[in-house]
Amino acid sequence: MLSSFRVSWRNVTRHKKRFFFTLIAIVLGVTVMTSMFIAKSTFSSLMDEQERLTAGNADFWIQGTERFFSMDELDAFAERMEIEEGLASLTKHGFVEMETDFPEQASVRLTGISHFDNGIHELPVMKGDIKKEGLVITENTAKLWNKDIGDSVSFQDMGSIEITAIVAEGAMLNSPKDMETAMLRDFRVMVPLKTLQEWTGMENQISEYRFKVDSDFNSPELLDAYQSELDETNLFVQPIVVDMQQYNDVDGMYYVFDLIAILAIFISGFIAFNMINTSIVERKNEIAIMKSLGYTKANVMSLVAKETAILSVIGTILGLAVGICLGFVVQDILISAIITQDINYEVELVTPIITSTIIGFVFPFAAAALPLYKAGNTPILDAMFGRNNTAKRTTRLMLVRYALGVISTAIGLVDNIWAFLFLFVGLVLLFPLWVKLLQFFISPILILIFRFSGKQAIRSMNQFKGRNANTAAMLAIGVSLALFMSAALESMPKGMEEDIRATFGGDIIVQKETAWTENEIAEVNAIEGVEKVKAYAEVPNITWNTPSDELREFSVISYSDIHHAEMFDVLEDSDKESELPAIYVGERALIEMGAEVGKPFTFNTPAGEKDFFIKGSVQTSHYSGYVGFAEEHVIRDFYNWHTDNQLIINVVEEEMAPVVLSSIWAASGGTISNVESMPVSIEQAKSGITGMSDLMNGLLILVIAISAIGISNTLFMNTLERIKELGTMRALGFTKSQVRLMIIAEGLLIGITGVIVGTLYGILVIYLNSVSNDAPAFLDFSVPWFSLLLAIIGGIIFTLLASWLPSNSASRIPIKEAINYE
Amino acid sequence: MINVTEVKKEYKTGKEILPIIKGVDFKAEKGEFVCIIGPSGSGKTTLLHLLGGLDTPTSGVIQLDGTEITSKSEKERTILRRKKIGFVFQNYQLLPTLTVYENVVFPLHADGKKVSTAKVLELLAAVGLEGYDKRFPYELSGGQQQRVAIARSLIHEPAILLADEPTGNLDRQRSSDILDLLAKFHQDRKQTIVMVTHDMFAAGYADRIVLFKDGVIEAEVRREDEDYAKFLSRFMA
Ligand SMILES: Nc1ncnc2c1ncn2[C@@H]1O[C@H](COP(=O)(O)OP(=O)(O)OP(=O)(O)O)[C@@H](O)[C@H]1O
Ligand SMILES: [Mg+2]
Repeated sequence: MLSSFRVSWRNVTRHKKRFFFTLIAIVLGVTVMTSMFIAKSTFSSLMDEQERLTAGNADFWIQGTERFFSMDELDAFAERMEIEEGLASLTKHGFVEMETDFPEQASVRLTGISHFDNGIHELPVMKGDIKKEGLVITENTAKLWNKDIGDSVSFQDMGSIEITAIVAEGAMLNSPKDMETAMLRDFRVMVPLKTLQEWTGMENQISEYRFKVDSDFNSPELLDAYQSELDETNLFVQPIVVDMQQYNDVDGMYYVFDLIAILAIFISGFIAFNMINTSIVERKNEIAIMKSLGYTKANVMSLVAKETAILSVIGTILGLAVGICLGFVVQDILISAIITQDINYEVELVTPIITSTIIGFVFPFAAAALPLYKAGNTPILDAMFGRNNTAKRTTRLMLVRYALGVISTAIGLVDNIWAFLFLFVGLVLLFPLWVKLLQFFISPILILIFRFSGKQAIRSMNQFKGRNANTAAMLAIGVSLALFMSAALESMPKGMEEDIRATFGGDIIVQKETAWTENEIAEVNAIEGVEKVKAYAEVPNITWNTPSDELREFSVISYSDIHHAEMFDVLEDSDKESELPAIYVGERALIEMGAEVGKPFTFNTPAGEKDFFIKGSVQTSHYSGYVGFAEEHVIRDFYNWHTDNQLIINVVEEEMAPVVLSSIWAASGGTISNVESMPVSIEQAKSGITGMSDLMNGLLILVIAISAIGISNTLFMNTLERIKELGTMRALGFTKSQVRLMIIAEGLLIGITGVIVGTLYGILVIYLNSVSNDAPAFLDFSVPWFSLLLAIIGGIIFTLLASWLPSNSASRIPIKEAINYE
Repeated sequence: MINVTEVKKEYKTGKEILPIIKGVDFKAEKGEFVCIIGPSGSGKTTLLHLLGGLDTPTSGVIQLDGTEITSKSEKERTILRRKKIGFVFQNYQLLPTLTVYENVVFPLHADGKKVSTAKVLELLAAVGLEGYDKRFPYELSGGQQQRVAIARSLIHEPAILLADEPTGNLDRQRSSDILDLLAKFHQDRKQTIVMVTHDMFAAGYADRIVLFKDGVIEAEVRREDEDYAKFLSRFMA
C-alpha cells in the first residue's frame, strides 16, 4: 500500500537544496525563538527565586524608623500566639582585614542572626555545619578571600571569628563576581547576632525582626492589628515583599527578546511559505491529476499538510536542540551583563521548550495556510492542460493585498510598542509596489553592469514577482530592525548618562546606618572639595497593591522644594487639589501601580495604611523610575519617618569625587552602609548596556542571516522553475558565466531593493520611536549613519553570498537534461 | 448507465463565447462498449471530461447510474469518480513523483482502500509491464506510460471506464493486447466503456460507434446493424 508519509517525504525532499535551505530557515527561526524564551524565562525565574530567597519564609517584618532598635521593644509583640517563629537580625557594615588594592574591595556587610538553625532563611550549605554558630560565607567569598572551613577571619575594629559553614550564593549571602566588582558591591556574610552586637557595642540592638505567622491567622486584618499595636512607637511592621523591579528594569529587555523571537519566526515562516507555495504551483498539474483520480479537496490538503508536518517536525526538533544550546550562551552573557554578584541559577527549560515546541510546530502550518488552500482548490482541467485563466483573479487579489497593506501601515503608525509590527506586515503587503518603483532606478544600472544577463535577471524578477518581493521584504525587515536596534543601542548609553546626570541630584550619595547629625553634616561639608551637602530621607519598604492585587514595594524619597528638586524631572503635574498628602511617582512605578495622576492611591507606610494623592509622574534615574517622592513634611507626618539617613554631596569638580569619598569613609567610623556616586552609576549603567549590545548585535546578525537564507532559497526556486528555459538558453548560446551573472544580478535586485526599503523603514521606525510615548527606549531621532552604511554594505555582501550557491548550480545545469526536464 | 440529455458546453475566451458541444443526447447501457470517433478538435475529449464529472456542462443533464451529476458539488463528483469511474487521459497524466506501482494504486488509495500487492502486479503483467512496478514514469517510454495509465484506470474495477485514445501510442500488437484486456474486463465485469479513438481497429471492438462532429453526434451505428461494416470501412479510408 502506498505509504503517504513516504510520498510526502519524497515530495519535500524532491529538490534537495530547496529543502535544505527551507529547513535551515525553520531551524534558525526556532533556534532564535527558543533561546529568547529560555533567556527570558530563566531570567524571570531567577528574579522570582531571588525574591523568594530574600523574603525567606517569613510573612512580616518589623523595622525601626531609626535604623536600629532595642530587642526589649519587641518583648510583648513576640509573645503573640499566632507568631510561629521569629528571627532577629542586625546588619552592620565593616571591612575584612585583607590585603586589597583599594579599601572598598574589603567592604563587607555583616548580618548577625539570632539563631542559625531557623525555618525562615534557607541556606544551601556546601561545606561545614550551619548549626555551629560561627562565620558563614559563600563559596565565591571563600574563593576570593582564599579561606576555608576552620580558618579565622578578622574584621576591622570588630574581631575575629572562625568560618563554620560555606554556602551557595543566594539572596541573603552572596559575593561580588570578582575583586573588580568588589569595588562596587559588598561581600555579604553571616555571623551570630550576639557576636556582632558585642563587636559593635550594640548590646541588645537589632535592625529588623522577621516572623512567620500561623497560616490560619494570616489575614489582611492581622496587618492592621499589628500596625495599630505599633502605632505611636518608632517601630513599624510591613508584610515582606521583595520587589526586584526596584533594582532591575527588565521590561525593555523582555520586549526586545520578544521582538527578536517574533521577527525570527516571522521571517522563517515566510521562507517556509515561499517554499510550500512554490512547490504547490510547481505541482499544480500533479495535484490536478490526483483530483481527477478521486482525491478530494481534503485529501489534497492533507497531503500538503503532511509535507508541512515533515518540515515543521524536523525543523522544530533541530531548532530546539540548537536553541537550547544558544539559550545557555545568551543566558550567560545576559547574567554577566546585568548582575554584578556571583549567582547560582538554573536554566529554565520546561516552559520555553513547551512554548517553542508548540509555536515551532504550528508556525509552518500558518505559513502553509494559503498554499494549502490554493492546493485544495486547484482547478482540475485548467491545471492538467496547462491553461491559465487566473489573471483576473490575481489582479483582484493584488488589490486586496494592497488595501490590507495600507490598513496595516496605518495601524503601524499608532503609538504602541507592539503596533509597529503591523508596519512590517504592511511593508510585506505593499512590497510589490516598492519593487516596481525601485526597479525603475535600479534596472538601468543593473543592465549597465551585467548587460544581457542583467536584462534577463530583470525579466525573471517580474516572472517571480510575488516570491521575489516577499524575499526582499524579509531582508528589508531584518535591515530596518537592525538599524533601529543599533540606533537604540547607540543612543541608550548617552540617554542613560544624561538621565543619571540630570536626576542623580549631586555627585555622591552616602547612606548612613543612622540619621546624619548636624555635626556630621558639618564635618562632611568641611572636607576639601565638597561644595554642598544636603541630608534627606529615604523610606524603604513602602508596599502597595497592583491592580491584580499583587504586593509590590518601593522606596519613597524626600524632597524639600518641588521647584528645586534635583532628583527628578516632573513629567506630569496634576492641577487638581486634594486634602490628601501628595506624592510624585516614577514612571515605571506608575505603570506597575496601574495608577493615574490626579487620583488617590493607598500605600502601606511605617505609619500604617494611608491614602495619598498622586500629584504627578516624574522621570528619575533613581531605581530607574521605580520609586516615589514626597515632600519632607509628608515624610515626617504621614510616613512617620524622621530619619534623614541619606546625604547627597556635590563636589567642586567631578574628578574629586573619589578623594572626597575616601575622606568620608575615613571620617564615618564604620557607620556608612552604602555609597553611590554618579560616575560609578553611569559606568555601571553603560557597562550593562555594552554587554547587552554585543548580545543584541549577535542576534540581529542571526535575523539578517535568516533573511539571507531566504534569498538563497528563492534563487534556487527561481532556477528550478526555469530549468528547462535555462537549458534552452544555454543551448542557444548563453554561456555558463552569463547564467551565473544572471542569477547574481537577480539576487542583487532582491538584495538592493530589500536594503533600500529596509533603510527607509528603519529610519521611519527610529523616528516613530523618538516621538513615541509608549516606547521603552531612550531614543532621539538621529540617523545612525555608520550603521546605515554597515547595513547597506552588509546587506549587499550577504546577498552576494546568498546568490553564490544558486548561481553556481544554475550555471552547471546540464543542457540536454534540462531541456527534457518536466 | 450513462444518460446525457441536451448537454451544451461553451468556453469563454475573452469576450468571445465558443460553443464546443452544441447539444448532445447520448445514452450508454450498463455493460455497453461505446466508441466515439470524430475529427480532431470536434469536442470528444471535452465530452469525456463532462461524463467523468471533471467539468460541468453549460446546460443539460448528465446522469451516471441514475445519479444526476451536473448539480453535484465538486466533492460529491470526486467521490463518485473514484468509486465508479476509471479514466485514461489522452496524455496519460501519470504522477511523476510516484512509482508505477504507486501510480496504479492511487485511485484505491484516494478512496482509503487497501489492495493486495499480488493483484496490482497481476494487472501490471496483464498490460505487459511485469517488473516495472518500481520505476518512475520518466524511466518509461511513451507507450509504457500509456499502459500504466490503463492499469491505473482499471485497478479499482470501476463500473464505467472512460478512455481517451488509450491505444494512441501503441503498435498494433500492443493495441490489440490492451483492447483484448479491456474487452475482457467489459465481459467479466459488465463494465461500461466509453472510448475515444481515431483508430478504426480499436473502434472495431465496440458494440456501438458514435460519430462526433462539430460538437454534435452526427451518426451512430451498432455492431448488429446492417450498415456496420459499411460505416467502419467509410472511416477506415
Ligand atoms: N478551456 C478551453 N477554452 C477554450 N477552448 C477550449 C478549451 N478546451 C477545449 N477547447 C476547444 O474545444 C475544442 C474541442 O476540444 P477537445 O479537446 O474536446 O477536442 P478533441 O475532439 O478531443 O480533439 P483531439 O482529437 O485532437 O483530441 C477545441 O477546438 C479546443 O480548442
Ligand atoms: Mg481529444
